[in-house]
Amino acid sequence: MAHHDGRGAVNTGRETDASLAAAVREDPDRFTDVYDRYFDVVHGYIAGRLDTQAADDLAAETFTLAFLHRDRFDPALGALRPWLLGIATNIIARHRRAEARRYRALARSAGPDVQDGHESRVVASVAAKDLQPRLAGALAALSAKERDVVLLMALGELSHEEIGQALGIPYGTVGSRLNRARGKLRAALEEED
Amino acid sequence: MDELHALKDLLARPAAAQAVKDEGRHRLRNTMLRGPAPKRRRTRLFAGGLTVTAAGLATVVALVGGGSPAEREAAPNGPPLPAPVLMSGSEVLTNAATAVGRQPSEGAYWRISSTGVVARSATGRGYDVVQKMKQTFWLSTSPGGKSWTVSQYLGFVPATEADAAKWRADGSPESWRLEHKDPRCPKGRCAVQILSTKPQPVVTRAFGGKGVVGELAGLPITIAQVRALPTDPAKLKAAIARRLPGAKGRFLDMLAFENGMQLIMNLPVSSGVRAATYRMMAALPGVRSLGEATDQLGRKGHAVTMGADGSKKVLHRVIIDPSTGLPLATEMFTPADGTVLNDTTVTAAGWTDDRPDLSRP
Repeated sequence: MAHHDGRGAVNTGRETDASLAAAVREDPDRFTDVYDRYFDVVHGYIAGRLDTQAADDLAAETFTLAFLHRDRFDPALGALRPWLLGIATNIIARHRRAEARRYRALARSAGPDVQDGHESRVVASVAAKDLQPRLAGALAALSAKERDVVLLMALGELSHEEIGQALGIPYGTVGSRLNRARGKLRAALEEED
Repeated sequence: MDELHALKDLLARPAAAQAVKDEGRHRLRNTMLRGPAPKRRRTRLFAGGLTVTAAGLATVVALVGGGSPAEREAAPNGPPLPAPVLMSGSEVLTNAATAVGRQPSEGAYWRISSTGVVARSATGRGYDVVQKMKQTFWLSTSPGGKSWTVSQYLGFVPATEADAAKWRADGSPESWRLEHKDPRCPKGRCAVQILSTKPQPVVTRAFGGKGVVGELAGLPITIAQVRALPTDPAKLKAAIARRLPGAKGRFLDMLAFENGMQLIMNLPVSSGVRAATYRMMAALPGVRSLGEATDQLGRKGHAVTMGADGSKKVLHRVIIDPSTGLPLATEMFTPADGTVLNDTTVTAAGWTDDRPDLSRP
């Protein structure tokens, strides 16, 4: 019986990441199972930072790269989810300008997001909507490193430790970047009109 | 409000359509089959599983439809059953070679215009809507010349005649609000998507730096390299194979078919190379004829199929106009249930000396 592991990926309950990774080493064809398990997670993360159209392409590229570099995956250093999101983060880094444009566009308006091509637009609850331009502005103002950690947490739903694995940085560094990033975002939300 | 939830509200997007996932899995499987290929450029140009990509050609993405297009709903179990087959797949392609070889061979630009379904969605009101993208490529044959892509996402429209009737009964709304039950949505604050009948703006992009006019077998190709392509079918296959290290046997055949369609449709090759490409494809084991077929615009042609992923689970289908030898339509579909993963209908293709019209696709 499939059930959610609480953060988006479906855990089949039959196989852990470590045993799936081991199975892939034995039989590379099993990598499509990795794809099926984590596609939505990776796509959602990239679509959040760039747009759906880019994610349609770059999510597939993430898995292609992951497959080509599967030997570098070390189960002792963490699970598949942070590993894949780390690769996706590196790919997003090639699109920093598009990402910044997106946040600036969201900061200007909570209206139709024409950057998103066929996706049309997505809007949130009314209460959240009023604050969105501010939040987007604050996001645009973060450093790239701060954005990586806070979005791996918010969109990728990674823990401190997993963010460290995804980015290859120490636990303490994750904490300090995260504090700075969250502090700036909170300040933007709490700002008086 | 908690800033992490607020971020999620701001940035959460609906999950990808099943067809996007299927297309990505197909791409991954191709990589798995051919081993570490030369690094693939990010951008895909064309639908149809033709895996066309090129440096500098950003975001003209026509990866997928969200299911079988309207026109094919009448045949839920796949493309129309083969009419009595008069010609083999190989004969269809050989005839196409002869016809295409008679076409004019050169102009300032190779121009090809197409339309394909890029999204399909249920509206929650008892009918489905689809969105198409139109695009035109102007591929320059002059060294150092600029090439262009002009593309436009059209508005959402009812998917089928039956859907259109229900849409009218619904008061012919011009937009639809979809609430997504998405595991990424925090409780009570779920993502809402608005689909509109309004078309998106026309997007124009130029490329051509360093003489690149497109891509062949995952690598950029320059106009000089295009002109140096052989007109001998076996040498042409070898030229494609050199770009695909590690590809052998039936996997190479599969990729030779895909890249053959790429040469015929999306690169400014001479009629002689186009004819040689069809002859190269005609010699591939695995090419099958479906007999006569009608495309989405009602044009009749001859259809051939070829395996698209190393198994028989996904097939390419190409409908060729026997009088010009040029493709009318391409698609990738799963024969088991008839699902069309993506489709491209060619609305115009040929040489032109016109200046690129960047105002419309």
